[in-house]
Amino acid sequence: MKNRAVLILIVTLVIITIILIALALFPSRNKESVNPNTPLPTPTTIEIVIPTPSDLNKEAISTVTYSTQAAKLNQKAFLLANLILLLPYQGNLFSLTYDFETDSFSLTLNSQSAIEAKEEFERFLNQNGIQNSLWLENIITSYK
Amino acid sequence: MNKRLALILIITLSLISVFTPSLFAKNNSSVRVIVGEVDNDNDFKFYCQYDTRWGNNPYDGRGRTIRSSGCGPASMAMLLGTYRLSAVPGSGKIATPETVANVFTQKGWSWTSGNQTGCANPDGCYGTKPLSIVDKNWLSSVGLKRAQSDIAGDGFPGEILSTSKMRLAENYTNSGWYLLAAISNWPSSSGGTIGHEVVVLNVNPSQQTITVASPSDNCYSTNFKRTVSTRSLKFISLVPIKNK
Repeated sequence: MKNRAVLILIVTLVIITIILIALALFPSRNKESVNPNTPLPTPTTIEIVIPTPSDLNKEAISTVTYSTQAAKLNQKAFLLANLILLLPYQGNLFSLTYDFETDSFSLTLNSQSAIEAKEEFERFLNQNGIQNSLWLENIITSYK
Repeated sequence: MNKRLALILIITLSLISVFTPSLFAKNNSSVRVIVGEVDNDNDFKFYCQYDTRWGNNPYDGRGRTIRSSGCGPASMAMLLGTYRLSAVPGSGKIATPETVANVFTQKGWSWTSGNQTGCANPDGCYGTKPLSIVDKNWLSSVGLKRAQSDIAGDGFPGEILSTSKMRLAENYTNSGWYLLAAISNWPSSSGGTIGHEVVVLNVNPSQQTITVASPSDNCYSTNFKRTVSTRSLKFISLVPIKNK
């Protein structure tokens, strides 16, 4: 009986040891484990440093300048996203589609009324905040 | 015999007490298990901004580090690394948070050294957007491109995505783009919210969730993906990026 108890204990010990070794080796699939002596980074929450009022004052001027430029650049990209939401669009004299894979627009103008079609297209853009058709990069124009 | 049993028990408990903390108590600095980089999930390369290889590197010249403020370069390094691109063309080294952070610092794009930001921290960037890391010319020089649109370009503190914008985002991810997202209220895994940048891998409009690679989350797991609800997430920008 005692021998059986010892046997069970030994088996338990071996199993626990195997499990612990397996667990310890598990992350070795990771490249970092090539260098096992590298100390572990201590996980913490990301530090959010709130600038003091003096910090704010120091960078205020350049920030204003940047913000204006950034706002203009991002506003354009933002408006284009809103435009893409409306596509595919079929107007009276034009149609506009967008290909997500290639990030390109396809504009088809009525060949018999090309000038009017272009004007209608420009109006459509303006109505959706796009000031100029040049904002649309990668645009393929065809006539039908 | 009882003594022998007691001895075996003591040995067992000792082994458990020695091994267990190093396996599970990851705050212990003696732990040697490091998962700061994962490269085995459909070739997407995950980087953790906490990794000791770069985590303590200064990032902005004012005492901040990649660990504390480097979610931007870490996210960009994931995109570059996924396509096996370098932050310094011609260097032959696949980008890491360290090399990207160096570039950003040199260009004045680090967290507070210029007017722009590596992280989406509203206090750090004073309400501006992390445009620096989606600069079209720089992206092109390193072999990436961004789409013309910014799905959430509404500025700080950002917009909660409508279902239609979720679908727009989904169209991009389904067409081979990753989405670099700056979020002003990212739910920190340790509680609270932070300004953060992540790479969006998948978008699920019907569930209103996104699956992301966040450089500060799941750093100690080979399963780095984290799925979060977008119902209250405020996106400062959401830019589609892929290789040229």
